[in-house]
Amino acid sequence: MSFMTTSRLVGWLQDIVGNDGVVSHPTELSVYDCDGYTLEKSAPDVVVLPRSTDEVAAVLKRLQCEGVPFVPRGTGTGLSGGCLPLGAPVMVSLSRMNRILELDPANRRAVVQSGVINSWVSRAAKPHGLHYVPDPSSQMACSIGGNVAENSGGPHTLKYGVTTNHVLGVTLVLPDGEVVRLGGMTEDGPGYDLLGVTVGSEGTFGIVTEAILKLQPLPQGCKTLLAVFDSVADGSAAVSAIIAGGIVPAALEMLDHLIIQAVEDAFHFGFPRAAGAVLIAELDGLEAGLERAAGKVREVCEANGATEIRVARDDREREALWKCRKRAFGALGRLAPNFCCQDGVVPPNRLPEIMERVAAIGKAYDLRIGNVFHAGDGNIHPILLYDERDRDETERVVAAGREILRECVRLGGSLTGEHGIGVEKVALMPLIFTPDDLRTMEAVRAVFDPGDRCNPNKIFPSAEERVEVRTPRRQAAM
Amino acid sequence: MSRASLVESTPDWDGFDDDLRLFEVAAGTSTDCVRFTIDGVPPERVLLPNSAEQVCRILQIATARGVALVPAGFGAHLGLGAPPGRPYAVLSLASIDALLDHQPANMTVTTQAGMSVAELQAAVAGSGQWLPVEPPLPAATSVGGLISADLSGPSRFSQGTVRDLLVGITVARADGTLVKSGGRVVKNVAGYDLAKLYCGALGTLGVIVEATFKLRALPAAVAVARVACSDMAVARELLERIRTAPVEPHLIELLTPIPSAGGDCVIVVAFRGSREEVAKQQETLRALAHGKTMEERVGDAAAAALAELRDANVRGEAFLKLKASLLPTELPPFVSALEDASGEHGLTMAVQAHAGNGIVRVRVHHPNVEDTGGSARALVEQLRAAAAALGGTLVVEQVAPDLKPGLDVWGGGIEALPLMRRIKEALDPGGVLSPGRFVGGI
Repeated sequence: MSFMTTSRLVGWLQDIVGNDGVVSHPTELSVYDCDGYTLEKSAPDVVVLPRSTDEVAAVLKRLQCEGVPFVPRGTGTGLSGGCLPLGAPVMVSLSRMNRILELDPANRRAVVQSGVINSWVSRAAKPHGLHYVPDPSSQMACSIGGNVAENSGGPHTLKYGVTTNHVLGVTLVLPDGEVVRLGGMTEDGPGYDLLGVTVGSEGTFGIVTEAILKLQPLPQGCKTLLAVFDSVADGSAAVSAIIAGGIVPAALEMLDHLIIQAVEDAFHFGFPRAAGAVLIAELDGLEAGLERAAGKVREVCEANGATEIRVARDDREREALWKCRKRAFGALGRLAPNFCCQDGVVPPNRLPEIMERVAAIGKAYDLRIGNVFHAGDGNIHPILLYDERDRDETERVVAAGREILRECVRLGGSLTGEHGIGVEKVALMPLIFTPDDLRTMEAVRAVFDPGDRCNPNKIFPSAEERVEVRTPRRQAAM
Repeated sequence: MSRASLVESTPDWDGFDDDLRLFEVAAGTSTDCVRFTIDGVPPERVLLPNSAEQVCRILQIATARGVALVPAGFGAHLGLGAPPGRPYAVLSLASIDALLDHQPANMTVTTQAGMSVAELQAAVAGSGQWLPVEPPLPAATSVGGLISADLSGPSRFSQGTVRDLLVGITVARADGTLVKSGGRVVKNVAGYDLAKLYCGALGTLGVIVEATFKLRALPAAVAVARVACSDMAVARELLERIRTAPVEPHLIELLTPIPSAGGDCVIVVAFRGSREEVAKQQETLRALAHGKTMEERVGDAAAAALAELRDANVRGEAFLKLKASLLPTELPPFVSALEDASGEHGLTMAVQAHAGNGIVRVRVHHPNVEDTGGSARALVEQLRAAAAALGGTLVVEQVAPDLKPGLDVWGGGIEALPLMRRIKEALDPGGVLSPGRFVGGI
């Protein structure tokens, strides 16, 4: 936008949200130039920080009048560039809408504003013996609105399901400023499940300002095992055998050699540094069945070559273990200045194959790749380390990431389990969807956002990208 | 073409028949026409395509000839929804019924839409797995019908509903293009989750031809307990104690006749899991229900009791069947409202509630069959207002065919209705699929 247009817009927005609710200074704007996906950066011209649904509606009405595209943003922890402003000069940040509005323990529901941090919900529900189950690794920082947009997962979604299984309703401000409530406090409201298709729409339908969440009782008991393997292949075989054996652990997480070392250096948990892989298996539920299920997991791990199995002695040890797992990404800063985390999915019984392919791809592209992932549902997270100052290495990261995802698709899987398509994987969509599939999704999008102004240039490949899968735009941009 | 003009245009049934002959689509018999009769109005034709390609052809032909299509499975649940707004042909998926891909190691199954839920369960049971939804009449319920009518049973309390288990879907759009969303892996956020849109859409957005579900391991043990409560207040207190106790019930149902004679209010709790888990929970429940009459069943007897519970509402005779959606804590006041209505209208009722989910099904009986029209309408309005006052909604699930045209099946006041209409227009612009069957006349 031109300088004049921007300054006029800033004035209008200030009228709605107050002077302190608009950011337009270039230095301050740089904070908003990317999320957790750092391969592409682009700052908005203006960031507006509304405090209420009414303010969001007023802002969007104004933007509608001016025909200005916008992008919603939670706390910027996304990993696919979902809130990267591309052709969207205005960013609407929900970070000031951070209140838990209602907690209804008897009906196991919480009503929250979308800027509320994921972990706050469970913290507030805990005194009532309840928690909010979806627990992305970034749960100390990520917002519920972002979780709704991406349909976020987390380690404990193996047994309990992802965000969409735990959201009963949302308040959605449509791109024209109209406010509509989808779903509600009760289940089974008559009509189409618009809520279900809004969750996971990556912020392309409008701005979610409030969400009604389901709470679950805290499990009575919990057993956390740490199984050590010589290789990721052995660990993956154990995972397949556990799933096939009919055991549904609450979580089944794997860390490979590179990650174990980084995490151990950072947090000194006591991981065996020489191990090829460790598997964290957590069982929860009624005390009555836990011992036996844990015994079965132990047996399966041993049968698949576990060299050592430890059991968390108490809550403190368990929490320390989870802290290591969830902060694994942070520990990688010790290994390289930048990393790119992939999010492919394969059927769990193809894990040994895909891990072998990931390692081979790393070799072929001369890249270091660590793996820390949700093994139980086949959701891999190869982490490609690089230094963004090294242009050649950066190019190789993009190419290798793409090849890994191609392999996931070839093995019957998907491009993304929980991070979303965002900008990152747009060009790969034709690998799994036909032009008709994509046109149908776009027709649904047009119902909510006929002007294509809400988070444009996400999810859907451009016309030329549909003809053949091309290099992601990054290469053109560089 | 706008919707209005299509509705007004006369369907060309002869041309429709000619076109279908070209593609050798099997036609149903007169028995099928009876089976697929919706609210007393038989279909003009019953079509039994044998492939997804034929489904697509039929859709193209129907669009070209201005013919309305109602997708169906075996016709067991066609009483749901409003009657079709114009003469229609039934497109039954019953012959498209293959199991496409069961991956025991990955706990997923992909089937064609015409397979029955019972067949699906039998096919995966050999691997010690099941699809943990329990629709009524599983042998007469197709996978497509399970999704389209959202027939989640009592197990929704612990297992979630159909939408929670459906991970991928292939649908023939009204224009005859075959499209998919989701995939065959349990965790997947690539693209919009359009599978959700088809859940409970009653075939108004597309014809489901294939679906992929997550499976679960079949639990080793099952137990069912029926606890008799002297009245609703006692039942409410027991529900509250179960809610906060260290148990993870498979389902919690509340059954009561209205008016209650006292002592005939029953809470049914089922447990599924390992033997230790089930035994321990039974013990806990016995303590919670101390002083009340409690009947327990295990093994096959428990499975039979669960099947009876699952089918009771669909099998039960009634002149009117209603479903209310409420907050779980609003069940007792809603039951009070039912008692008031029963007194005022001289009616008796049978209530079955998924107590943990706030879903209440009411079967209304009438002593005087002659006078049902006016009281049905008055009753629906009264109970819908009562549900609304408690923050809930109420729909008519079944009623005698002659009464239905006078009833508002879905209720008004649906906030997102304009968006829903636009969804319908985006996916079925010609209004070919199940016209008039859904909310707001969609």
